Amino acid sequence: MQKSIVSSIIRFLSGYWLAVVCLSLLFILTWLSTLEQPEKGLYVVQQRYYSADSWFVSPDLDFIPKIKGNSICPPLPSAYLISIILFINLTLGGLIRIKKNWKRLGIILSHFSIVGLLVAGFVSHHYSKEGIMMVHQGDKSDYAQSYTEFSIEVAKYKNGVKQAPYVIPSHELMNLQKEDVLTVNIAPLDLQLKVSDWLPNAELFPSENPAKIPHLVKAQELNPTAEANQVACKVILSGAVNRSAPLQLHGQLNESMLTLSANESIGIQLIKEVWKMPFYIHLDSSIGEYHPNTSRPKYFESQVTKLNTADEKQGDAYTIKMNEPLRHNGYTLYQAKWIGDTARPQSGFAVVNNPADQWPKYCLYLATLGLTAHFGMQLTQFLLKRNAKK
Amino acid sequence: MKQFLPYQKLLCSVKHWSFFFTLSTIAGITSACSEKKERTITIHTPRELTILDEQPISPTQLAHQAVTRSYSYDKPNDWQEQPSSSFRKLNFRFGSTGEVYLSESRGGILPNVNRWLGQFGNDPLSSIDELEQRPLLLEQGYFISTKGSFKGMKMREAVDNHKLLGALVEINGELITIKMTGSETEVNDQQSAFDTFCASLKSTK
Repeated sequence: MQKSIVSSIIRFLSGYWLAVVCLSLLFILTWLSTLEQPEKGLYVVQQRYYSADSWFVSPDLDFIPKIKGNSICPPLPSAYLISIILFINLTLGGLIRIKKNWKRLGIILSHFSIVGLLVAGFVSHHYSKEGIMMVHQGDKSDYAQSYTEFSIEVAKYKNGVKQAPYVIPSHELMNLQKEDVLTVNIAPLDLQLKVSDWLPNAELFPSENPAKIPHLVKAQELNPTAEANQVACKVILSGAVNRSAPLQLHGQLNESMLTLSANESIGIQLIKEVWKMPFYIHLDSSIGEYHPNTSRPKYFESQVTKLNTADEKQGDAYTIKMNEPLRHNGYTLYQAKWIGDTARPQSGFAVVNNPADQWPKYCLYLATLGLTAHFGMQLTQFLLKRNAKK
Repeated sequence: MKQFLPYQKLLCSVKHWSFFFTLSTIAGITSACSEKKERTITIHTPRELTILDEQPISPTQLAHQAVTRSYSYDKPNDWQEQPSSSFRKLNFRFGSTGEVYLSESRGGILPNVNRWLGQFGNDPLSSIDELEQRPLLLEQGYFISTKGSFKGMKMREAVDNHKLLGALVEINGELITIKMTGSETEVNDQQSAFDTFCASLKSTK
């Protein structure tokens, strides 16, 4: 009895119809999210439909009727959930259902290449980092900053020199609700922070009493262009700095400085998340051209030198163009921006650190190999049979 | 080979569809129930210092500002909106000689003010304290007015009896300037419109 239940579950999970339903649902989600994207923006829709944080999604589209403000469309499983089921389905199907013999080797290879694509998507989703590195011509940089994700950095200053900052990472902050409270202990600084009143997009206002409260914030609708959203929150500090009044942080405000002693102070800032690169990029030259009467570049190219240390004089020279990135040590640098109307031109490199960067390419090679082998064998068999009949 | 009747196929697929809806509903209820309103985390190790930490403001932040900053404002009736460009984020014309534009740049308030004064053949200032100060874009704005014979960039010859009204503000190291130029009569007529525009200006980056 127990065996039959287990085998029924395995048969269900490895079944052909489950794959059909998974693929149909992925098609429906792609269609609905494409319709939602113009109004809500790419980032928000990606988070709602495809992120690991959402297990189900309720489509919010004008043509779906509503009763008392609630959509009549039932919640749909998110693309993440469907992809997990599809992965289980294809893996079990490949291991259990497909007949294993030499004739089917091509099919098996192609089948597992699709499983590989899903694994690559999973690794990219969870382990890849993406940001932007802006460099002026003649300067070098060793860090990238997130486009959309904010972190809180707390740094001690000794005699005016900034020490290594402690970071409350974006993944702890970006899903906070207004009423949530996040308590953060930073033991090396003897500090405790209580982060509250998180607003995913807020506007700054001058206060009526700037001496007491420099700025006020007001919640805003989320901007469809996720880069334009400016988060805000309040922080209450205790420990080395005992400040009962909450400190208002906002993405547009500079670092708030709090005095510890005559020589020491603490700086707190809401800042787009920073990550250090394992090498330096020196921008030797940056050239480009704008479309006439616009600030939209139509062409740009950067000559860069990759340095292992800040003091290194001679490094490896690379050219980065629109479709020719620099790949090194798991990092890929694409030229994404160019600003040429400043005293020194700037290049903006989209920096992607994705362990699965090349996996989809290898999976497609495998699928091509498998399908070529399969159809090659089919064609050979057909020709041999036809010749035999003659 | 086992043959399925159409209704069996349909039934089979309904079973699979309902499987997903059940899963997503359970996941939704579970995540809603397990949502924590208060959490505590501990941070032990700092981020490594980068070139960013040596600068008063990072070029990345500047670029984000340059790319993402947008403006809202009350447009005076006499001003006609013109296409923006990389140098002129907002661009207007009025009358037969007047123009107003907003630019984003760097280089400091005083050097830009002195450059403008030079365009009118006037002596440079030694300090920005000599300028009128009032709020602009939530920060301390600096306002200038000058007149004379104007020779702007790309102008072959100077034109007489022109006037300039300017407003400048620095936000996180980024300089935002609003410059109105035109014949003295036309600029005088638009003085209050310029002030209203500056007061209404908001940055919505």
